[in-house]
Amino acid sequence: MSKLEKNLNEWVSQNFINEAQVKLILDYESAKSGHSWVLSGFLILGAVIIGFGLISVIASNRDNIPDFVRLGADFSALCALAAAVMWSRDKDKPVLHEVFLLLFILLCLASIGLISQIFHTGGSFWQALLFWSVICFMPVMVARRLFIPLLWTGSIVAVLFLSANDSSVMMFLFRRKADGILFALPLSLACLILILRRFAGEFPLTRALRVWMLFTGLAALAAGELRSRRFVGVHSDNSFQDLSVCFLFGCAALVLVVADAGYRRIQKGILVCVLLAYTLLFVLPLRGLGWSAVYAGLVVLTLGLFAAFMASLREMRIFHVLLFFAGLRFLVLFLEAIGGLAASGFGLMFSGLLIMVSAYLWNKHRNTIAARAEEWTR
Amino acid sequence: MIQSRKFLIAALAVPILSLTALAGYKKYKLSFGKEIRLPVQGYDPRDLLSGHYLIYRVDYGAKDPCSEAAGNRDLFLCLEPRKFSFESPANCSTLIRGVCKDGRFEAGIEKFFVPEEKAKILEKMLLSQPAEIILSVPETGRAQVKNLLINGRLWSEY
Repeated sequence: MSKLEKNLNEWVSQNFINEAQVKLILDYESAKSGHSWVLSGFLILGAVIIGFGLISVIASNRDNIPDFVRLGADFSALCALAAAVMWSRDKDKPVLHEVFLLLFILLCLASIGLISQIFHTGGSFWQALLFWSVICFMPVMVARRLFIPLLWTGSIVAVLFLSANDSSVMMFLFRRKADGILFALPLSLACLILILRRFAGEFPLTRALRVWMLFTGLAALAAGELRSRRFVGVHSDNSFQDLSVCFLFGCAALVLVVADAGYRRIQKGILVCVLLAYTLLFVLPLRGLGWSAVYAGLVVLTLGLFAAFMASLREMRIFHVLLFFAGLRFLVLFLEAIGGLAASGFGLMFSGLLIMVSAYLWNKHRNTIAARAEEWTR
Repeated sequence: MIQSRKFLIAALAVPILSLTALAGYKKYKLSFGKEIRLPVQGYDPRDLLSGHYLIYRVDYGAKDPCSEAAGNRDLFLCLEPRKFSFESPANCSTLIRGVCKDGRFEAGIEKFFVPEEKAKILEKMLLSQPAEIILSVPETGRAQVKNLLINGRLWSEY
């Protein structure tokens, strides 16, 4: 029995709905089956495989086909796919629209490979990826599902990391400091989200940017904390100048948050606190205040506040992920604080028990916590 | 999500036009640049996007000052008279523009894409026999590889 059928039976037994309404709901849902996430998932997987197949065929570089024929075929395929995207949009076929759009942007990437092959252009892989990201920004904005924007945002993140030691602009901005890039990434993605929200509202690209912002933000917090332990009591090998881009993005995000008319005052307040706590996390090691209970506390505070913000947006999945990490960090902090005892048998037993009780309490009260956090930010 | 039909048409046209412009620009550089030849020597790695290519060290016939220069500085090679300089030379009829990277002069001409099935044999030939690249050099100095000669013959003849 499906989850929907279980829920419907429960609602009938509670007299919320009657049998006729159940039939109407089931008919409506079964009519929608063509748009199931399983079908679209497999179609998108197929499109990804076809796309990489195209790239592979082009990469094999067949010299028995003249260059102008290869270029002509490539551009004809691009135009045909663009027409297919338009057709699927006009005929209101959302799954096909997404599949054709994905094939179109993957063929754009393959076309860059073909052009560089035919004209023997120099340059690195990240430069091709950057060019692709720029020319495919507009097609990504018309995507209706999350996969294409996730792929595009992932390529932007990859470009930033791959170009760190190769691009003169990146080397000038970050002075070859990987943690500078890591700290700046979530802030730059946050700025992009806030700008897009202002001009185009919420859509799949802003959701994809949020996913990557969270992913890179968690990575930055983990890397920052691991790194800061090396600089307890001594100044880190970074200077304020090395992290100046992070401060710039932090200030830009602060201005954009304050100017955003879509957020309530309490939401803005929370976001400002998150930005300040996050900034402190990379300022503290610069001043020789590396790992300490204060640093760990700031990590928990940053995660907790951002979780509360996500609850206010009713983004429950993200809220639960953030709260899980905040809880995990708090637990590790607690176990580190009782390090002497934890080494003994009693300590280990106590730690195990603590994990079990925390997991149980978390599972039991997570919805209440989410509801309270949402209420608090109203 | 942006739903407008006009925006969708623009969104699909931008990549196609950009790729057409890129291909057109590369073709223009190849067709209107001054043709020169430089000797090379190299080996064969692989590109994720464009397949197999031969990579080589270009013999520019002048002492490359990159080993002494720090960072990714712009560098100019004047071919007549053959001399490197960090500033764009004023009276130079043929100029190649590049950067110092990892202690070497790079002008974006260090790759030559070849078909998968010929990559191995060409790689061996490039290591053991004299080879030259034919460049097209426009007035801007952004050189582009036109062809590769091994033992004075075009690579495609092997």
